[in-house]
Amino acid sequence: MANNLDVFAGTAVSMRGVSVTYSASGEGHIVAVDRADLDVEPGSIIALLGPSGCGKTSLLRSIAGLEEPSSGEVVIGERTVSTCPNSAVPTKRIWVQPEQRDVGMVFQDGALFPHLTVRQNIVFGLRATRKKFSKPEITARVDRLLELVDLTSYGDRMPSTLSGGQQQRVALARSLAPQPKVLLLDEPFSALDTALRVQVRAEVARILRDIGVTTIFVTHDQDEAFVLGDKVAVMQSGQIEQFGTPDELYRSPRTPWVAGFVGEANFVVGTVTDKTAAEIAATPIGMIPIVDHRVNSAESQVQVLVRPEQIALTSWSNSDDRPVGEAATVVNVEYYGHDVRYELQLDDGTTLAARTHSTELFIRGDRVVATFQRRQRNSQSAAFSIGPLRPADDR
Amino acid sequence: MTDASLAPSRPQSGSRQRTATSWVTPSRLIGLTIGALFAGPAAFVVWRTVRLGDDLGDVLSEVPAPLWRTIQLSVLVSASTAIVGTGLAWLTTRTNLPGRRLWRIALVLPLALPSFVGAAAFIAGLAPGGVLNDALTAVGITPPSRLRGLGASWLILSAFTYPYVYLPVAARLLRLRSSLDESGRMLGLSSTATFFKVTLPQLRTAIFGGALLVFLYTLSEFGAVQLLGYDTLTRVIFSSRLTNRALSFAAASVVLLLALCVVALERSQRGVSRPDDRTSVLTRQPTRLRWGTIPALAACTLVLSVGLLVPVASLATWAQRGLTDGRIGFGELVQPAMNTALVAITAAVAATVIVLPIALATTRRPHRSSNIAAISVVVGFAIPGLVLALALAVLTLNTPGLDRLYQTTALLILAYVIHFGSQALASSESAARSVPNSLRESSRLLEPNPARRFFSVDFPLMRPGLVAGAGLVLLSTVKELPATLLLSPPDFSTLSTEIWSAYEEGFYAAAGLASLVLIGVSSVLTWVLVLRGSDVVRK
Repeated sequence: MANNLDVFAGTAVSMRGVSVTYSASGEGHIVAVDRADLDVEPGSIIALLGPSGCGKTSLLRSIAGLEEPSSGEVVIGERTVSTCPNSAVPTKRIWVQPEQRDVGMVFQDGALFPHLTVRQNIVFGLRATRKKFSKPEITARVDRLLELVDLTSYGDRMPSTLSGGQQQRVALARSLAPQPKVLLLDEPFSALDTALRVQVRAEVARILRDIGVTTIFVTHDQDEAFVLGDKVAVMQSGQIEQFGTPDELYRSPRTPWVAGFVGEANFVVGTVTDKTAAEIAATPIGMIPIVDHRVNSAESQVQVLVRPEQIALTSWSNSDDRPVGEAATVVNVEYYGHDVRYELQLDDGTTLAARTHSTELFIRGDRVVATFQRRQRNSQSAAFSIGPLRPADDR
Repeated sequence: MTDASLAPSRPQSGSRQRTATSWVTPSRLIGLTIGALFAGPAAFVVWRTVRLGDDLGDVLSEVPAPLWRTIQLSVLVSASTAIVGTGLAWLTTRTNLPGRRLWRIALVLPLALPSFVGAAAFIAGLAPGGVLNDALTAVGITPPSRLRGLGASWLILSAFTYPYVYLPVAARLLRLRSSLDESGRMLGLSSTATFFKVTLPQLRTAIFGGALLVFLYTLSEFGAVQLLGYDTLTRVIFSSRLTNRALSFAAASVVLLLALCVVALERSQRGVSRPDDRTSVLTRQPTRLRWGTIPALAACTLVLSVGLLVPVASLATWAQRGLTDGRIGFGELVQPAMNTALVAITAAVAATVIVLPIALATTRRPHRSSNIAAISVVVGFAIPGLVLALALAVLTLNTPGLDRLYQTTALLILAYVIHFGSQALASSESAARSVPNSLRESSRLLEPNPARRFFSVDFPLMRPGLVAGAGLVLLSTVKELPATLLLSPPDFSTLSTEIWSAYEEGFYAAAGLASLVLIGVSSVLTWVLVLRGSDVVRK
């Protein structure tokens, strides 16, 4: 499919110290994005992930030129599309209008023009763009795009007659038609219901990988960010907390907040026993090797991140050969088929979540022993200082 | 299986089959009777005209000239209000115009002025001693001696009717997803091109619908064109109603047919593009006017001045002068104000009660008969007030037994009900729709008595909608002139007839004071009924 369409030259995007502020009536200024730095490699797919109000959409819109940053610089390819003079670096203001940036965008609601047919919607950008296409070229391109999004026979339909998923695919085709250097997607699947979302997401992922366009998309859904994104920027309160591959984010989050936002997280208190190269923390559920020790070395008490699937459960018994671990009571069971999620109450009162493959099923009230599982690939963990830091509860 | 299962199922009360059965049920007959009441005057006008036979040919030759003037004026006013209304709506919703929220509300206010009051205010303002005359003389311009003709009518009707376009367009713009505009930009259009290629097509239905209402309004307009000496069809009807009844009926038929076409066109337009009612946040970054700020502010100020400030100032100076002289006082207005309140409130309640059966029928048991009744109600709206009054006057005078109705408040109220019933109908229909089916079905299981069910479940839920509908009738009635002029009993004056006669006799002070009272009442009603709940104010 990709070789039918013109090759999309992947273009890098970089942002330096970008801030976006809104003037709120009576309340001065609201800082939506606070000095964000981001480097997007050509042809990659980047997710901006964060809770609502974290500034991810504002950041995306500042790349599009729909929002003018109050400071910082945005560069698309070789071209600086916006800079703001500030007191430290007196530069000239540069502002490229959105329509001159060669950027495509898919909106949350698709934003198909309701007065135009599917085909006219897709043609819209080809007519408006400065790149001139001949009539047969336009027809051929639209046909290829309709084929790409699997809507070949829908060209003459009105947008209101399409389902939500079809509308989003048309919106994608429309945004790709003028061959943008960068494609931006603003929560493109959030208006779809769950089953459809997974399906459309998979199709969009296939299309984007096929054509290799640099893509930046916004989502509040961690699954979506991980499934689609080559790299994910996790944002909170206007700042990029961490930027990395999904695996990096999941296994070695920089803060407990990130740890909790990208997946379910338990934090257990441990004592650092070995201060040599390979650190180990002694916790109630066993000895846990620490890879990312984000604590200064003076502290010996740390909180250690333990993912639910890193916990193994065995029936509690009085015998001496029972595994090292903490006795706990099963307080809740959620059966998913491929695995089972348990909520445990340790005897010291703390609660833990565990996910296990269902070799042995427990029921509410069972006594079990919870043990840190060493055999898995991710048998190491991250540790954080015991401070005011707490896992995110605003997921 | 018993035989019963083979027999055709009997229509059960409330079941769905009921829609397909006979026309002769009590509720349908009631609906058709009400419909006949609304469509009757229009039918009478056409029948009288057709019956003229050979005379028709003679009088019709006198119609084309005023018809042409009517059409000219209506087209000009519709076109200019479409442009002005759309422009103002865009300025107050999509740009960084200073004080745009305040403008957004203020620009609706000219709606509170009946256009004949506006015309009178301008004429009085330009007369020696008027506020405009003084102002123009002060800056060294000789004031025009008379305000007459097409140009003056065009200006004045536009100044008071543009809100019919402005309101729906502003409401549409406020609901329009900003992502549509932004998509236009992302696909390579400049902001101006985006307005014309993306935004404007979304507004088309609102603009067209509003402009058609303006067209209808201008077509039916009598007071303003009479004062401004522009010979339209309504003026012909009025002046020939006593001397040449054939001509007045022929002219009335022509206006009526035109009006019916316009209303039919407007109705059919509503269904054409399904409004896209997904809402979204306002454009985060309104269009920056930059150098355009001053001209934009000037335009808004000009429109508001012509539509509200100047006429009110003109009326106020005359009124104030009269009050200080002691020539006039509020005492003389008490009776007309009471009369206005009496007929308007009665008409509002009567209209709401009379159309309620139709509203219930069209929303709950739609049938051809209920559709016919609903269309008849709309015919009552389309028929110009003057034509309706003429029809009712001639009908009652020439029908033995009915002649006692002539020049009674009952007939006047009936005219209001027929003319403004469709406003109550629209509100009542949406009120009826607001009672969920499930609620009606569950109440049916709990309360067997239909009347008690209606008053304990349906009515309380429908009440806000019914009150709103009655309020709209009230507002229109207060502002109405031609039907009131023709049908009022002798010595029965309302605020609008008081203004009219005071003005015709040259008593500018008395006319000014009465107008201010009328504008005050209609502003309050407009605020409460039209504006308060609208997005234009709330967003």
